Amino acid sequence: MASESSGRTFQEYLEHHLQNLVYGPLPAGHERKLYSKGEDEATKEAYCQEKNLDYDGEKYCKETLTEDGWYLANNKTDVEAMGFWAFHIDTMFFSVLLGGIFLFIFSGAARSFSLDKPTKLQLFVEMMIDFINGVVKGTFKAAQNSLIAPMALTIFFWVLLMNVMDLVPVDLIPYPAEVLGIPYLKVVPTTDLNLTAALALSVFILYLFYSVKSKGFIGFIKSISLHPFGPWMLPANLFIEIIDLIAKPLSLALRLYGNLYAGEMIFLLIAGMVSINLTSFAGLGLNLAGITLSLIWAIFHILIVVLQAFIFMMLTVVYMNMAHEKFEQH
Amino acid sequence: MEVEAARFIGAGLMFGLAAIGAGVGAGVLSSKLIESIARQPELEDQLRPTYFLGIGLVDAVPMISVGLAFYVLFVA
Repeated sequence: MASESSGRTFQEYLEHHLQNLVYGPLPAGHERKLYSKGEDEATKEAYCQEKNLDYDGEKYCKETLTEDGWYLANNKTDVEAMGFWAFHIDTMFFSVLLGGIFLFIFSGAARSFSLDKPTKLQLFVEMMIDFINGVVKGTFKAAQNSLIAPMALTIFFWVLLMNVMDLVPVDLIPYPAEVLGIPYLKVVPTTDLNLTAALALSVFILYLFYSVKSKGFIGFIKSISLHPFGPWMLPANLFIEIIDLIAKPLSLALRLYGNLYAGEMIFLLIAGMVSINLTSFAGLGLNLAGITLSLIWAIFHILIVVLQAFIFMMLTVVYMNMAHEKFEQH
Repeated sequence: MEVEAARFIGAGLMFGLAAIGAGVGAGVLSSKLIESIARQPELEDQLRPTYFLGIGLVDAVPMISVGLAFYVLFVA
């Protein structure tokens, strides 16, 4: 679906696709703008009047809020006015949905478990569990903890499913949703920094928890203050170790987000390049080029999608292993 | 118009430096993998997952740079 069909320029098309569906509080007196639809000024004005809004003469319908309240954001100025309490509903919806799908499939396979007549689904699930189990056994050697492997499995499949949403054509879900009245929709939850940061933060909290649990609070403090240079260089040790500590969740979150965001961006650029006009020769050629490019990028992207999910899981297990190590004087 | 020009120069630098970094990184990694397999062919199955993990780590930062370059070029 090209940008022209929705009456947007290329830039507006990109910005529209990179905007989450945000729900949050807006203060009274805030001026909301709504993108007006229509070919010429008269239809645009009629569109605004239909919604009881003023028309600004160019592109937008305007409305000044008379009281505080919770609204869906229409554009970036709304999101900026919402501040901290802006909820990305689409990210939350799709991540929970995909987590639910993962749990549904795997628990279904576990419930219908059969030793004599295994179904194909059961074999697949067993294979995946064996795979994750092998990875965790190979990496996690510092202590016994039966929670690490299930956590690794959950992280791997949840992140994988969220990444796979990137391979869904960019307009397949957002365009019908827009027709149905949902102004913005971002279907890949991992292209939202909030989600990847939340995942990385959860891993970080577990890291701190298990560090303190296995080393003791004093041991944990010792491990970050006495480590590389010995007790006489305590400030330098603290400085290095705290940067090391903070870099863990930061790199985890940014790696996943950056890869998926870049991938989505390239899909969008290809989609935006394609013309919807099938009658002309050039339009047809552009469409063919767009389909080919999308296909090539999608095939390459399968690798990235699986690899990033694997790396996120692998690094989580590695960090958990580091957290479980007993404090030693080097 | 100068801001526009700076934007193109910046995006070009980001693309180019990302490509150089990723190319060197992936090249070193692949050459070491081939060397290792040539020396000890029986270790291939153990080396491959580690290799892909390394490729993923090498790939990540340039991809972030490319994504940001596109952002700078088309959106910001």
